[in-house]
Amino acid sequence: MTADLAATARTVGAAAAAGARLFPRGAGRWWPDVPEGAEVLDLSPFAQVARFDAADLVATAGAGCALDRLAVRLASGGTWLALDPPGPVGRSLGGALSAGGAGPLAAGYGPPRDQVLGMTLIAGNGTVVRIGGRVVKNVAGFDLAKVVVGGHGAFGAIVETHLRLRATPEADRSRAWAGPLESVVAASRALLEAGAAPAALEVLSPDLAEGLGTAGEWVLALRAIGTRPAVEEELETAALALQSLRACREVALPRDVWERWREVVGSWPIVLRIGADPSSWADAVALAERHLGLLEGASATVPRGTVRAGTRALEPATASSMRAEAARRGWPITLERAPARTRSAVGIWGGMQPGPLRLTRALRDTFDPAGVFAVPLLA
Amino acid sequence: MLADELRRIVGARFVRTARAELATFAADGLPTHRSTPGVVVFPGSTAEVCAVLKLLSERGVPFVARGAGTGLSGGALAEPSTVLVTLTRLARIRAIDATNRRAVVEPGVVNATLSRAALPLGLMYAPDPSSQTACTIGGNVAENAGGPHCLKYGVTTNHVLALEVALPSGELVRLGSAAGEPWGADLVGLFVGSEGMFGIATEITVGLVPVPPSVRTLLADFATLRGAAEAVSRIIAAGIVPAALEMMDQSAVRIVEESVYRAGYPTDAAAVLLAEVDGRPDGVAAEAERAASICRAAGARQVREASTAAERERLWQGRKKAFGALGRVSADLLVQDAVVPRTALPDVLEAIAAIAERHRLRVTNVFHAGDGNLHPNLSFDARDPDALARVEVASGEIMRACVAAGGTITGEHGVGLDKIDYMPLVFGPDVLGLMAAVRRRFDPDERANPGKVLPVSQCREWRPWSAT
Ligand SMILES: Cc1cc2nc3c(=O)[nH]c(=O)nc-3n(C[C@H](O)[C@H](O)[C@H](O)COP(=O)(O)OP(=O)(O)OC[C@H]3O[C@@H](n4cnc5c(N)ncnc54)[C@H](O)[C@@H]3O)c2cc1C
Repeated sequence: MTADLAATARTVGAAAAAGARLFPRGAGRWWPDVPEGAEVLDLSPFAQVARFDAADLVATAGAGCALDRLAVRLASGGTWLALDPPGPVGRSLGGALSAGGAGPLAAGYGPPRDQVLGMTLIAGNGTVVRIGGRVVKNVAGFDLAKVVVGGHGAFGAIVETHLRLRATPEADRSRAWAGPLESVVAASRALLEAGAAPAALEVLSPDLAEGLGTAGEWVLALRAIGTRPAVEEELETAALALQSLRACREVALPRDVWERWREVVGSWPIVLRIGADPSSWADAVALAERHLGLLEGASATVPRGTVRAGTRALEPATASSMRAEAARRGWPITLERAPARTRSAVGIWGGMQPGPLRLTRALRDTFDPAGVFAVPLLA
Repeated sequence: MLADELRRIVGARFVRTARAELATFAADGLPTHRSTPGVVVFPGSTAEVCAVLKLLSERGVPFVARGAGTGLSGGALAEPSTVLVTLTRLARIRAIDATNRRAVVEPGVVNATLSRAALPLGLMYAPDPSSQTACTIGGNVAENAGGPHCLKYGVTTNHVLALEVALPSGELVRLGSAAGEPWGADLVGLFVGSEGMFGIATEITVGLVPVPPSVRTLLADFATLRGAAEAVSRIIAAGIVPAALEMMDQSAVRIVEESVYRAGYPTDAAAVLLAEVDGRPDGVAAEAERAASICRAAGARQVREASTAAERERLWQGRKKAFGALGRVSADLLVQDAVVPRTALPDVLEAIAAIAERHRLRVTNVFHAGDGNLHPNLSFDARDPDALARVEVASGEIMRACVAAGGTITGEHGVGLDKIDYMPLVFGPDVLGLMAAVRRRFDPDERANPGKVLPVSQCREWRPWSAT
């Protein structure tokens, strides 16, 4: 199949008119299966880097680009994209942006939406819309891309994106400290209080840490990216702050720990993302354990308070009681990855107040009036 | 009468209808447009905002939210048939949570007030528009405001975590979650930059960032604009992320140096670059050194570093007060705003100079060079219809030049009234139609800030957003 935008848009329009349902798919590496009764809308042919302006730190890449291949291309021009979602490295750009799946780098560079300057989208009525632009600052018109990134494909099929790049850094180094949960909580707090502003500050549960080839304890991993002296100093300052705390001991990290993080977290059959607070990530982990029992693993992006919990099975009743408890603390829970059956039974989103729920539904109807995209946003 | 009903909600003192009082609200920072509202109301609480909007909804009356009125696109202007809802009484910082690095504020809190309040906790609110001593966080949210330090730290949208919004119906909704994870669709991201057309933000949760332990500020002066622009690209390509990278052309430098804001800029330079790096001390020292040598290699005649806090303050004062200084050399000043890819800066600056010359206008450039965000400022006298007409034509040409170079029509000041006609330069009818449809999901009667942003009447080619 070739990357024919007009033809793909016609397919969407025709499906909408016929009352059919489509499942937008990039590399097919994230959602494990296709929902019943839906046809795949294959976006993998849109895999070109149509423009790459290295000096301006902007690239235009097709949604079907595999993230690893895109990274190689960007590196050839001395640039990189601060997007490290869980999942295999061959995961598609469009899929990663649709899922809004921030990785540890969101601590320093913001979530996926911050890396997107604009995009071409096929909306649910088959119309091709070009949103945003190709420059790093832009307030012309309403920021529609915000709804699409993290919209799980329910607001349209992303075909192409304009991306904000960074210059390849001189240094990229990580250090880690391990200990019991309370010590890692104290350590993470101490680093935030010491004004740490790292590229990533991620807590790994013992099983996850072990899977990544480091200590089988709670691990706090810090990643610094930038010029060499700045990186050394960030790591050294953290080490000093933790030394005086004496809570954790330093442990070695494998060189490819962050790639492995993506693989391992991306291999959990069901992934829930909890929007807790930087100071309460451990409470969110506890909440997940209380409702889900033994986890596949947990990972917390400390500066943002985002916790990912992996599990094997999720019953709708469990999900709703978990969401209800989280909602009492003001935390949303997104079902980031699950088999189609679980997705439709549980809903990708839930526990919302009536106002945002109504607006979310209304926006979906606007972008996809016929409901052509088979994405169970809400149970 | 509507005014009486409004008085019953907010109290008699907080509703203005006298002509002289209304005239105070007939303009914002944009000198080319004026419009006097029918009534101005100053609610004193969220409940009053909701009650006011509910009443206006029942009466089918349009409204415009207003913060400090420093906007530069005419966004806060209201027509005589419209009620202006001014939010300056809602000016409390409700909470600062140092542990989670965030603050909860009312919309009328002045931008700089928040940073001042956070400072003792070692934190700051990063977006720093040059108007920060006057503009409100509510206005910043509506415009998605930027500022010099947004190069490193990001613009308003990158710092707004959650919102409480009074919808045009008067219903109060909470969008997002306190730590910034969207709850459902990213309604917070969508609301930021919606220019008052989706409702009124009544409470804003923003992220704070640690005050950097070390800051170094450099002033580099160049014999050519091209050299300065080249230095900007090279610094960023070297992997240095300066906190700020601002450029001023010779005209701007001279005007500042002749004003009370004198900063000691070299008046014979074709352009000066103000570069700031921040972070931990060793890293910052090394980065400042690198940035300085890149400037020299790109042709800087001199690179000076501020050696004291006072000197740094002074260098920044010249930049931040440049618009004020410019405002004093002519009756009126149009602060334009557009963005181009960084590498296009030299060519576009030349094109802008040629446009200004062709239309016999004085143009002065003071801008956020690091992210290609231009501010070509046109000095004129609005009482002279010919000058006003030339300014309008030149502005259009500048916008076209920026769009042709791969850029856009506004980087931080918004579309408002000023740029409606340029929207079709950057957006097709379908996406404009989608924007209108999205807006109606928040505001079905289109009563919130009517007539702004979307070129409804001019875009006859608009395709209505249909089901299939
Ligand atoms: C000298 C000068 C320098 C400037 N420098 C910068 C700069 O560096 N960067 C930059 O981005 N801007 C700059 N500006 C522009 C302006 O200050 C910003 O746009 C600012 O965000 C406007 O805030 P305000 O409170 O004055 O809003 P207003 O002008 O009162 O209103 C602006 C818009 O926001 C809407 N609005 C206001 N409050 C709310 C609310 N609570 N809810 C919903 N909508 C609301 C209004 O309806 C209007 O559409 C500058 C202006 C001046 C005069």
